[in-house]
Amino acid sequence: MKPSAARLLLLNGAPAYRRLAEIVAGVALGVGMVLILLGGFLHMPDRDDRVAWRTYGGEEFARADSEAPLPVPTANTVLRLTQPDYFMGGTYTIVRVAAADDTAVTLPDGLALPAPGEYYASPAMAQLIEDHPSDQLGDRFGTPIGERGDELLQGPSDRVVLVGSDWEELAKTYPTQLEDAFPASGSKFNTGLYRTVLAIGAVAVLIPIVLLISIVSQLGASERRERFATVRLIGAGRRAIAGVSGFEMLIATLVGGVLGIGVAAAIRPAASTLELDGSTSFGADLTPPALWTAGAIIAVALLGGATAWWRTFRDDVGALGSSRERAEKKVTAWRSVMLLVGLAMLIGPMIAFRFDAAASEFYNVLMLGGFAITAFGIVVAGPWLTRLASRVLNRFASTAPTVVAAGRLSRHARATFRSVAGLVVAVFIVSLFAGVVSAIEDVVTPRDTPGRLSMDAVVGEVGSPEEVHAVTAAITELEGIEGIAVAYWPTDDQGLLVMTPEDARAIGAVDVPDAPAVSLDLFEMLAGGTDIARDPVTPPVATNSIDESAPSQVFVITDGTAEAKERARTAIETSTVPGRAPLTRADFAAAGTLSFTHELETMAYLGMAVAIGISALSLTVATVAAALDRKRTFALLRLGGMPAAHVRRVIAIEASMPLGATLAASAGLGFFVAWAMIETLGNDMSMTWPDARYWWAVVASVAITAAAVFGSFGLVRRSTEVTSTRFE
Amino acid sequence: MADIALNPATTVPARGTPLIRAIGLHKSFGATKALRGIDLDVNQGEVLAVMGPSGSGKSTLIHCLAGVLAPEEGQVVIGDTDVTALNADERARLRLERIGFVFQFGQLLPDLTALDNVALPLLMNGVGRRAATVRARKWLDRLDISDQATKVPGDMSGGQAQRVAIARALVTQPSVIFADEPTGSLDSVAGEKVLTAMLEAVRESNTTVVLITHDARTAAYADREVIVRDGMLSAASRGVAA
Ligand SMILES: Nc1ncnc2c1ncn2[C@@H]1O[C@H](COP(=O)(O)OP(=O)(O)OP(=O)(O)O)[C@@H](O)[C@H]1O
Ligand SMILES: [Mg+2]
Repeated sequence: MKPSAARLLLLNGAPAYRRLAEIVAGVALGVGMVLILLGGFLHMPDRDDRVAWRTYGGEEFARADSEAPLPVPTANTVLRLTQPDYFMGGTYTIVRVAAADDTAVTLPDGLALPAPGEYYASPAMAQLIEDHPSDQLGDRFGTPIGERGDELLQGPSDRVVLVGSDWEELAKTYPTQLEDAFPASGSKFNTGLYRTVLAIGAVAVLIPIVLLISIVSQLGASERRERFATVRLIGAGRRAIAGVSGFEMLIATLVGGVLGIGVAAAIRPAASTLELDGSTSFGADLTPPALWTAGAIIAVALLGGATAWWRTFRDDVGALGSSRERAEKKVTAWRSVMLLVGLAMLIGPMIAFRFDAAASEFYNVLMLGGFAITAFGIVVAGPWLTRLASRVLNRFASTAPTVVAAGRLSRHARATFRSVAGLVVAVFIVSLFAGVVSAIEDVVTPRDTPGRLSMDAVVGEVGSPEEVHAVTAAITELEGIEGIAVAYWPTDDQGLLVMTPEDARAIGAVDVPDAPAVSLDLFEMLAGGTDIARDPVTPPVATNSIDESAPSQVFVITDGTAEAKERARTAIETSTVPGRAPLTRADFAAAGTLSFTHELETMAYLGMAVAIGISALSLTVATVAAALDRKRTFALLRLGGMPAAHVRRVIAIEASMPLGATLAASAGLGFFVAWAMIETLGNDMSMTWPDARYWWAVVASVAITAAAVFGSFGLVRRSTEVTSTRFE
Repeated sequence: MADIALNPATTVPARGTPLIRAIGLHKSFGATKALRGIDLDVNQGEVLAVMGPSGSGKSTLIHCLAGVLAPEEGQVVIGDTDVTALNADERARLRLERIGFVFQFGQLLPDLTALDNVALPLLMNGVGRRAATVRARKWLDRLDISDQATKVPGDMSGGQAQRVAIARALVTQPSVIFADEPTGSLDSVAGEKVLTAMLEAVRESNTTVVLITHDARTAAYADREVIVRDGMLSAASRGVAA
């Protein structure tokens, strides 16, 4: 039989169109996501290049305190100092530049450098400055002369100020760089990491698409069982039938893929508001070039065609149709091996770590591998878990619908699990992230702790008694300021800074001895954890004297309001030469790895949202397919007198039980793995409850399941009427 | 439907009186007139064979008698229940409580074991799982297939599957069994064994049977035989006149 003839026989009828419409919708959604992720992946280096001017290059030079002479301004040189600064719990980048009046060096966007006392701001930063009183933020920079364009920014939310500085002053500051041009190419330090995450995301989106295609192909086969069988009987080969199915899916996924471009355009504005490497994205950074777009669509279409081909080829109907329903190959406990190996890789290091903390590098690798294997192991073990759960269900079943559903589930565990696999893996990953992030968050959010630096203090560097006076003068006028304390360089070789006992108490030190002066570990006060039992405080030690000519740090003590802290910070910055930005204990803690883990968490939730959407489709399709597949079974039950409501109950149990069983297991595993990782890697972390987003995600997946099940009832009712099937 | 009890002994009339009474049944499918005026009485405890050429309306007749199909014209009464006056749910209830079915093949749920298949009608009737399993086992024993209890239909032979189907039809002790060529898919030896097993069981419990068959040897097991031709009963029927 010619393939064209087979096509003619197989490609018609309303159900075919409905089925293909589902594929088109699912693929469009998935490809839309893939295109966004691909765009992000491809443009990741561009983001890095756009911030290269402020991040890389230049040479460091000897400082003021050495014998070497300071560099002098020439037409071809510029001094640059890039540092983070803080505002209201967030950070921004402050770039100070100094150049000769006749400098030939320009910024990558061609604009001239700001003169001393003037500044450019990025749009997001300009907005921030405008939204707050100038004594809290704007006064730090001088006179605004305009906004800088996108080509100097990582993304729209990038907060940067470019401040013109005095050459002499900047040359004295560490770690100012001397440059002869602003580099236009970055080192892509973070790029690799983010690209890996984005690539994993894109592949993760493909998995539910493939599952959907596979399920829909199966539905297609069961809808057309008689026709397939007839065509086989006439003489079409197994390959011919699979070919038709594959071709049909290829076309459908191609159409879906093209529509995916529209979906990508529709979700791009929302996607660009998500932070990636510390900034939101420009739309263009999430748009792959045309060639890549075409390539991605064709690749997905080929994948779709191949999946459908393979499914139909494997589920061959045979020339005799399927008078006896084919049972799946039995799933055995062997399927749990991979999961157990993964878990062992996670738990092993945890135990080993207790005895030998030194080999932690190796443990990290082992755990990362363990994570991947566990995730994969869940997919492999899923059918077995489903079967196990359905056997338990069967044992305790006492009503007819439960017995029927349990029987079906235990004999079709693979097909059943396949419809929820995507969601189950997503739940595992999200649970893991939620667990880890909650723990990290718990650690890096400092609370007032006896012996640590007061949460109300803003600490800044000072270089001379004059600067201390200037700061003191600047704060006297300000609202919400309660006092000032100063720490001095030590007079001996001890290395710790010294203060008066009063000042030490004012900034939060405890057990301060009564002495003319005390030396204390200020870094420990600033950076130490909140759990004194695990991370004890070293009490201050009495010393003899203070050298008032060598101040090191000022502490401005505020009433604790955010506004007062920002006023204090502004006062310190404007009264001292540029240096490391003044900060609070909360600022110091937040500067850790938190933002990256948050971004990962957000991506995990996004992935889960996609998985939920596509799983909803798969679940609906699978529910309908299972019902159609068993038209006869349901009609038999109705014939035997089972009320329609009980038939619906069978369908509801069959759809929700596998999800319930495996979802609970994967959420539990996710948190368990998170706990394992924290125990191994984080020294003073502990698990807490995940935040509201997590519970919303779980609620959403349950709601989606319910919607999928109820949505399929209508069709199921029509196709399971007693009179719709003939009994002979 | 409180008047229908699970235990038929309380409502079933004595042997020899009509249990099923069909009057003037007409049923058509589009232009096809499958039944064209059938009057038929089936007595309590009787085994009635229905014969006739293919397409004559035999299956349609028993579907109307059992309340699966609603005839356009005529009346079906089982016991003291007017089946044709019931709505779909009430007819389902009637089937559940008073009627058993046996077909040629493919009537067992493919995913359930023989034991669960047989216990299922009891569960549907509200019997507890344990009690239902005990009773199902008893019936499997009676039909000599207790060794198949944990197998699913796909793993049984045709004859074994038919015995399970018969056990399932009988397990609720229905008043009537409708059997549509129950041995049609079996060879003559296996068919005869299955048939005798079934008849032995129904005779013991005084259950009424309406049995469609093409095979005169099978029909010979019946008390009485009617022939359907073109949707009507033929005069050439054997046994006590309707
Ligand atoms: N659901 C239906 N839709 C349309 N026509 C039907 C339907 N059921 C039966 N018929 C028609 O009604 C007539 C009687 O069919 P029925 O199945 O009762 O015959 P039968 O005597 O049981 O035949 P067989 O011995 O071959 O099983 C036939 O012409 C058949 O084509
Ligand atoms: Mg028939």
